Amino acid sequence: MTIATQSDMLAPMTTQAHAYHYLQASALTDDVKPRLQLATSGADDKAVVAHPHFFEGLLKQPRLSAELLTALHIIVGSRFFTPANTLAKNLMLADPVVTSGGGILRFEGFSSCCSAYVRVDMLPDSYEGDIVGKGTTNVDFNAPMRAALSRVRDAAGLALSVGQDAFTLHAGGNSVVEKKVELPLRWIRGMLEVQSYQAGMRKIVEVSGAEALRFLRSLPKASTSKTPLWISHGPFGLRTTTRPEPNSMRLVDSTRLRVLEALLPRVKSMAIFADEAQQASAWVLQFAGARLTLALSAEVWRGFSGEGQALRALMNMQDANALPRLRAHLQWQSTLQAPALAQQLDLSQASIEDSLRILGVSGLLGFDVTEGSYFHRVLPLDLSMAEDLHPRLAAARELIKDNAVAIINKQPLEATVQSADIQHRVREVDGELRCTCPWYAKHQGLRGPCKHVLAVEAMTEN
Amino acid sequence: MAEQKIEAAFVAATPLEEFIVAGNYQGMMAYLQAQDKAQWQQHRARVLRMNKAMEKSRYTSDMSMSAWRSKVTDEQWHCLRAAIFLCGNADDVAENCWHYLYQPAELIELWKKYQPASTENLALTLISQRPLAFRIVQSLLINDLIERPTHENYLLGLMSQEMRSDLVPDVAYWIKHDPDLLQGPLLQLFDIEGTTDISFAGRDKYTHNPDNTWQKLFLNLCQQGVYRREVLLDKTLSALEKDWIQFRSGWFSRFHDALAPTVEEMSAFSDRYLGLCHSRIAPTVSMALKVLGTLRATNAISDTSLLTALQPLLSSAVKAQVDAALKLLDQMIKQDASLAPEAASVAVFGLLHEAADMQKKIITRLDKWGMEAATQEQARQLLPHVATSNREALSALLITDATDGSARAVTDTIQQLPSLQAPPSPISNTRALPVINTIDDLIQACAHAFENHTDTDCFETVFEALLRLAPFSAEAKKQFGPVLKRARKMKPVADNWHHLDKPLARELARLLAFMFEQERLPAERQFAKGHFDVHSVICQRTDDLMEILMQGKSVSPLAAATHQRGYINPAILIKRARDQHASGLQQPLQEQVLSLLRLAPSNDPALRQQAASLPDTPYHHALRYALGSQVSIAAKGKDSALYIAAARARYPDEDDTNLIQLYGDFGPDGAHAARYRFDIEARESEYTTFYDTYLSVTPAPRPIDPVYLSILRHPRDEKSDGKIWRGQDFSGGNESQIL
Repeated sequence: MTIATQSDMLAPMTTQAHAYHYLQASALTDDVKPRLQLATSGADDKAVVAHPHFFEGLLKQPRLSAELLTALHIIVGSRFFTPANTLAKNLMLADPVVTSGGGILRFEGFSSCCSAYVRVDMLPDSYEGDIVGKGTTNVDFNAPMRAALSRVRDAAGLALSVGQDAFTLHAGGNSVVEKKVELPLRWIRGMLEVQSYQAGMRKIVEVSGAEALRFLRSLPKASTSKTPLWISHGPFGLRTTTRPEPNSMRLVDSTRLRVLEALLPRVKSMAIFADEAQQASAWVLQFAGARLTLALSAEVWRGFSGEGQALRALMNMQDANALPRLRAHLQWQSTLQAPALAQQLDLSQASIEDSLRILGVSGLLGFDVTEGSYFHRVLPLDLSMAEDLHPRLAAARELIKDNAVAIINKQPLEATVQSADIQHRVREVDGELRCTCPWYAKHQGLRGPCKHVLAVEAMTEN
Repeated sequence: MAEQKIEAAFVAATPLEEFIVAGNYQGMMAYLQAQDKAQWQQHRARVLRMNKAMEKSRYTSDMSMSAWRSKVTDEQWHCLRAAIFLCGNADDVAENCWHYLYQPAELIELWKKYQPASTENLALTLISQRPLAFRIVQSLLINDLIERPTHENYLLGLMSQEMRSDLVPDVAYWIKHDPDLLQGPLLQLFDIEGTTDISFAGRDKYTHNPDNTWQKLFLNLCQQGVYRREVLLDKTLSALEKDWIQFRSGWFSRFHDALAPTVEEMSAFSDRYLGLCHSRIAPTVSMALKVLGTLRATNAISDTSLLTALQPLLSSAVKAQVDAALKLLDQMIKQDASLAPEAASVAVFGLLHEAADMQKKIITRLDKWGMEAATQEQARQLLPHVATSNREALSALLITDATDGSARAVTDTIQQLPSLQAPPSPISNTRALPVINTIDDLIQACAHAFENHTDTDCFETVFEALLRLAPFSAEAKKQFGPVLKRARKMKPVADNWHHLDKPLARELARLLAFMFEQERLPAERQFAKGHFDVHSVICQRTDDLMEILMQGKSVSPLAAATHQRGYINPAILIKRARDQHASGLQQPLQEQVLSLLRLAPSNDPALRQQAASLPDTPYHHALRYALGSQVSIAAKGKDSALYIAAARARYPDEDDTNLIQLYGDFGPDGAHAARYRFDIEARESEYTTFYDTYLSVTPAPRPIDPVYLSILRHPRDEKSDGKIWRGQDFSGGNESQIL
């Protein structure tokens, strides 16, 4: 089924065609005992195993696992923002992604409006069984499967297969499922950029499940996408205000959190993370043996795309010899810590951190905000155009190529940048580079550097 | 609205176009029949061009100015749609499908006769663009011209069909001519959620006749034996399991009730009803609970499986669900007391409910049923979240039921309240506006102001710095380049209707044009003096600043804010007044009035003393009065505006009795402080009751010179035909902060 997405976005968009190929639909079967059979997608790249087999075993908390996967499915099929004059139709843009590595099974998804990222981590304590393969691919989630998940009970147990073994694959009786979607570039950009956002977050507060549930139930039922709320933690627990407070966290459209409510009675704790510039937040539910991370963008209409979080790192990519060495070192590790990697590869920590950031926005790494580290995961998308998703980067390189940058002073840094018929001024003030262009004036650096600042920084580095 | 331009008239340049213009269908068809399909395709571009012109004429108010020059006739449309079908491709037909919605028969006839290139993938192209095309696609299907599409829009289109209609084919018509709909697409409708516009719930809600609903249709078909009851029940439960949004799910739970399955029928799906207890949709859970109660009463489900299913209900926010679940638990334990500890382990989550009475019910049951160690621990964790009135009762249970035999101390969380702090002064250091001293900082602030047009503090800072640092050298003007470029796009000129919603940015642009390009642009006519609007005050201020600049003085404007939200530090205002008087600067009256209204509250004798040493001018007198000094107030006259403003600064929310005696009633926030009254009037009409809200102020506002800013901001109510209408609202967005 081809799903048209052209009308869904605010501005004219290009899309990337993407195809899923499953040997069968994912399903919950009940032959001997309940078994959730998740189908993994084939890959076009012959170097990668087609329809990989990742896991066979039993889930120790079937009901909880079913709820977590249901939450993932809900977010993936959700749209929290519909641009004007477009169909308010929830489109499943992309099937969730499953990554197996380091003993952890991770399921990731992204809402079709690009404002919510969700990841379920099944830690080793959540299952009895074998991780039989490592890698990343798409996994089929469908409505009948989700409906069947509602019938899972702890008493009955639940086996889980992610992919199938070679014997079963060839045993026949499969009914192929193929899906073709047009992934908007905005969606792809968001899926890549969200790692950078998470990497910049710090924990604001951690509360018990009961407190979290009370708080979520107190949030407005209707969409609050036009009115930001600030969340702070006081003597009576989490509360909201309409004005910023010290150590408070900005949130828009709290309906995005609704999906967490059903999970909270079982949760051990809920932690809230946010980045310093209040551009995004992450809500992490910790269970025994499992974790759900829900990252929300600053605005529902803005998503995570085009924020330029890793532009600086990308700008210097060509000069970083750490990058290829780090890339060669990746082996589906579930945690990649910069200090340890720096030691292993005999490189500076700063180079490793830059390289990790670049690999993150290139779709080769995910970020676990609870562990505070990256994990190896290759998004099953065409990543060759990843750099094309950063127009500011291309524009900065053009400025350098056109000799538009003139450094006037090095300490503090001051430069002029000729852009079209206007000469902009880039100045260093209190350690931060400021520009006179409308982009910087509007966003004050909160959405990454403008092309003029990028160009000046690159000239200075060289 | 832009004036409609006269378009060049369409002139037919080919025989095909001439036939269409003439509405000569027969002639056109004879012409095309003499050609082959390749030649038809060569006509495509011109046909589409004609379509554009004819289409546009439908939306043109004055057709004599449109390319088509007159209303398109039915004959011309007839020719055009045939031409599009024969000469265009599938996309062309799909984009213009409105042509064929009511005349699919024409399309079918042409298809059968000619099979033009546009028929390739036409059905899929049509239906994938819009569900509305169902009527055309289905007509093609029942004429055996296409295979049934599998696109979801086909099902949506079917769902959007009229149940009963004398004007268009309805559902009965489609079923009659395509019986395969019954066991295929009609049942598939249960599998799709629908959209905002098209869903079972939406369609049935807005159908006035209850006999013409989808619910009624399926029940009738079931009664007629077309569908087996268990099939419909299975489909309904599948839809409910998908947890669609409440509005759409609600149709299915209502359909379930209308289907009224027997106990035997429901028993066959008992597992699914148990699963529905986990639904996020309240009506679905309520329905499931009701069914489970029935099944339990007839022993159709086991208590153990029911116990597990009830767990999420006990932690539900919906009181009725918790209540229903507790009742079921009560019944279960009445029959089998051995289930009590397990029931307690499930019920304990009910303590999460915020209603104290619900918590009390839970505690009563926990007491009755007893708690095992794990349940005790869970209750202990929830104790801080239980209402104070219930804590003692719950605590008693925890001590009494301690399984290790030793008393366990239960400590309440001591909640430390923060100490109350006095609100900060409006002129505290934390609220001071930055002072810009360099050209670079000023440029950056100007750029920020243009992009953040609601940041009034930034505008204040910029206006102040521009006047203080003026005049600017040629080198500085070059540095202002990026900002001046932006200003050119924002400044109010005759053909620039953009940014009317950004008055501060437009006025900054106007000021910059004056300062750097020696261009004195008038304010927007609608905001010019005489119109009572906050925009007119902002425009007047800009004019006043230009007047100050023309005097060649590089000074901070008298009314320039020193702190956030427009406040002026009295000490700084006194110094400004002194310095600017000494320099001989002629202050515009509005600037003087504004400075007094912005004065921060003060009761400092030292400030009064400083003000006392100012030279005697009406403004300085008023300033002294505003600071609380005893001064003789001038009689009503040209300086009254100053004393009115001073009175507001001196008595922010109170009447100034001195001024009342001297000036009488000037209006709200004149000598009298404004007092508000909020009224709601109910007005009955034939169909409904309207509730009109009125905000009135006393004293009543009246027409007044715009220099009386404090009075001006209250809207005037004008009586007309005995009704009081709202006057122009002065309170625009953040601009009101400028006062």
